[in-house]
Amino acid sequence: MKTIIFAPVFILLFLWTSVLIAQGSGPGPGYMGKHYYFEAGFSAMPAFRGPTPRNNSISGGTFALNTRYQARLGMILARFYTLNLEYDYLKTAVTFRNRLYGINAHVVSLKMQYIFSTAAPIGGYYGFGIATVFGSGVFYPHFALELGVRKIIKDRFILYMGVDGNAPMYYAPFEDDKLNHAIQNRLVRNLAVYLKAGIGVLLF
Amino acid sequence: MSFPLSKILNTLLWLLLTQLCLAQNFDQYKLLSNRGPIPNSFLGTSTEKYHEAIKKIEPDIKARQKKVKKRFYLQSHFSIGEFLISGKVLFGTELNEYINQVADKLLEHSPGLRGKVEIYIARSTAVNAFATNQGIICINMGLLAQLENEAQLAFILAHELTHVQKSHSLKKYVEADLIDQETKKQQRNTRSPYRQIDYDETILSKCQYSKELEFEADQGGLELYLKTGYSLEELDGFFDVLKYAHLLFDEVPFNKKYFDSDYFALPSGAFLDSISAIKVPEENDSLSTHPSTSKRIAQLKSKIGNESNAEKQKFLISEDTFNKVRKIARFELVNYYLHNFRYEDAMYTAHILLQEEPNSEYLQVAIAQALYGICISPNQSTDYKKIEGELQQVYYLFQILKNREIAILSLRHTLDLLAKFPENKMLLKIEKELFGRLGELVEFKKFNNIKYIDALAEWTAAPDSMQAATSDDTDPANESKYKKIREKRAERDQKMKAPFYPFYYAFADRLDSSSFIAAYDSGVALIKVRKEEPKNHLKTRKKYVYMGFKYVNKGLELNIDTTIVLSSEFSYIDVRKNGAGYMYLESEKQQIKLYDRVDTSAALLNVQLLHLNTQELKAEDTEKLNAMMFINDWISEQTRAEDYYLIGSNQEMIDSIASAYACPYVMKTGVVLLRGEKTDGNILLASVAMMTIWGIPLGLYVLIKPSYQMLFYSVVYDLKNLRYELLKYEIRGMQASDAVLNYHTYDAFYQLSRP
Repeated sequence: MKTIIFAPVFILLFLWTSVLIAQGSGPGPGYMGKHYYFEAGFSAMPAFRGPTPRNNSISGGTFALNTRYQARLGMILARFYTLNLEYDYLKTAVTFRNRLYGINAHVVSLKMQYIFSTAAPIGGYYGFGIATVFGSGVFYPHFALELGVRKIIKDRFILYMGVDGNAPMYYAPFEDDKLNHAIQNRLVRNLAVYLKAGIGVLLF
Repeated sequence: MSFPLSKILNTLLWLLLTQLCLAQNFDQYKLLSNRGPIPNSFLGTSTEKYHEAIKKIEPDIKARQKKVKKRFYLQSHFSIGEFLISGKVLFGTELNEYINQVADKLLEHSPGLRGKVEIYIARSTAVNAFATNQGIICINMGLLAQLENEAQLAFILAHELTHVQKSHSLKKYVEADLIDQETKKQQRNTRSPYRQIDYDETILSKCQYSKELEFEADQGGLELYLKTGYSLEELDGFFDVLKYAHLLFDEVPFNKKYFDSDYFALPSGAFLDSISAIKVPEENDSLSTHPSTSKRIAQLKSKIGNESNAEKQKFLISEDTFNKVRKIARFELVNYYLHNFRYEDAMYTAHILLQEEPNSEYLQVAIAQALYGICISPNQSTDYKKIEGELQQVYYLFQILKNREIAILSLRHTLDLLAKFPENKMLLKIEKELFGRLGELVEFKKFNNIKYIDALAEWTAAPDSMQAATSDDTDPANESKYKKIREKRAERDQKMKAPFYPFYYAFADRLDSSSFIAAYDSGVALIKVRKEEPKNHLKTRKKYVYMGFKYVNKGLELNIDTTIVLSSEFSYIDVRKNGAGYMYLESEKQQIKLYDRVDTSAALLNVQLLHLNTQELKAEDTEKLNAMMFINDWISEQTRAEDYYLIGSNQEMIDSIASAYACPYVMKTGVVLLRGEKTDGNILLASVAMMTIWGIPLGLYVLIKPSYQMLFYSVVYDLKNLRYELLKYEIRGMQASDAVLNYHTYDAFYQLSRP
């Protein structure tokens, strides 16, 4: 219940801060006049011998990966800031009472990126935002963090890569004997750090 | 810009500048500029010229020689290409015509060589001339100003023509490479643990070879010269010109009363009682590329032998033309000295020329410009003790005067000149600036409204109060350093008071004038405004905004929709240990692309560009080249005077260009890209990353990725208000990729045009 109250407050606070930053630092020039972009990519994190949805054993092996697919709509807010609305589809697994359960979750996030090496949207950036996981009986709001680099090719296409991280908004102890709590615990660990890469396109 | 508008602008500029340049009378002298179609050597890219040149390399020579020759052609074509379009070279002027006539005389019997060479004038004060392998000969304006007659000019040309004929610059380059190779070989073969490069020996070998080539050029030049009717007696005089090249072109006593008027006179203490005599320069040529003049004269005399000088003449074309050409060169030098902030030299040169042309407005204004320059420039000029001859008086004068005294003297002199030339725009500008300087340094109440001469008479009648203090009998050797300094200062003050301290009487005739008081007040106000609006801001504004945790660059809002745009610059340099150094071909390629980016970005943001791009020049664009020449000179001055307001030495021309284009803004964009070695940080990061299997790709990426440092800059100048603004000055550790350059270029125009 607490989460449901906190989430809209955080979203509003986040949007308000974004607008303030955009106003303070002036409108951004965009890339050759283009202010919006769309990106799609793939995130992966080694399972570190944990379960993955593609194997039926508790241990996934050294090279097993947890995967995440993402789509993002970005807007250049200011010279060094972009605002991003992101949707991720997450696949992982959890073992509960010696049984393997696949997890298919949806993550929606709103992130502000600060471009430190060049200017929006090119170059190295770090981002901060809020996100929440839906699905598999779980609602898990958290802070989203990211560090990455974005390149533009032929004035139109985007390549990006980086690391995503997450931090819980508040700590709530879960009971070990409930499946959805086990899933939630698994998600907290899984979402902690992700490597990502993807492509995109500058829209208009 | 649309085509017809461009044509109209070109025509207007042509009319304006030709009017300024063609009417060359010395009272109303106007600076020289290029005339006629632009020669082919100035047009096209250096890359094309380089590729043409390397086709001519003999195919059957050794690979090493071929490589060296290719490198020579690369460096020489790019260097000379850049020099020709830099605005430092003049063509088509009456000086060029005359020099070409002398060259025609010399090469009457060598039409092949005549067709190969092109002769230009370099806008430089240095007493020098040079020839390139491509057949381009440049005679410096400083040399033209020093010559005594046409025969001397003919010998210089003959000498340089021999350099071209015998491909000396190529030979010198190849020989230098051989010497370097030989040095390296010897180093490898030396087993001594102390082996090291003997740089002196390498340099000596190179200098020795260069001297041999100079002797050969003298000899070849003499052969050409002897075929003409030029006098042999003038050769000695020519070597004197070289020997005393460090001096200005004449020695005339400086008129100590030059700045005096009814209201003002410089005290006698402002001048030296005696000046340093001119010394004969030492002739040690061991580390010089040229032999000493005495050796050159001796060699020439042995070659001349008993050659008769009968019927030989100093002038074959025209003595009058020579004198006019030399006078023009000397008039030009005045401006070059002003441009180089050598104000004392400019003043003395103008002072010499005024003996011959006492009514020249150009020269009198140049002296006012020099005074203004000394007055506002924070740079210390050369110590007067290092100056020889009459010029020393001028250096001494401005080193002994205090800043406020120079300000008073400058303004007084400018006001006197304005009475003679009330419409002179340069003087009006200087006057305004000097009132500002005066307001900054001297309080109005300090000035006395008694006429200097009357006050002097009053003082002479009762001189007791102004008597010099008596000195004590202390032995100077036992005095402390600080006491000596104090005494020196007291002595200087005393000297300046003798017979009377004149500076506060300088404006006695104007102190009651309301216009003078208003001008003084506006000068004070001007300085106040300047303090709030530094020179490097086009508009008073905050570029950075504090976000509560850090300052963020919010960019500029200059609201400029039209600008003149100069050629972009791109310098790509490989600075690795065994790197290739300056990457000429890649730099030029990127330079052209960068200019295209400028065009594209401006079009996207609806900024109208008035192009002054060297790469787009056509033969008929001489006026564009002239405009570039004057603007580049002006920018060079503004860059050197980066933190103080400075009226350009050619401000009149600049104002004309700004009016002709109906735009006071000039924009320039450039990139410097350095490829360097991997840093320790890179290697550490790669090592740490590769400790885990998952970090190997990252580690490899860090190791393989080349290391770059990029500087992107974009600057816009306000030609009329003497200001500039750095739109971009970004230093990044990254490759100058297309996207990065596009972004920065677009961002520069975005800030320029943003309302």
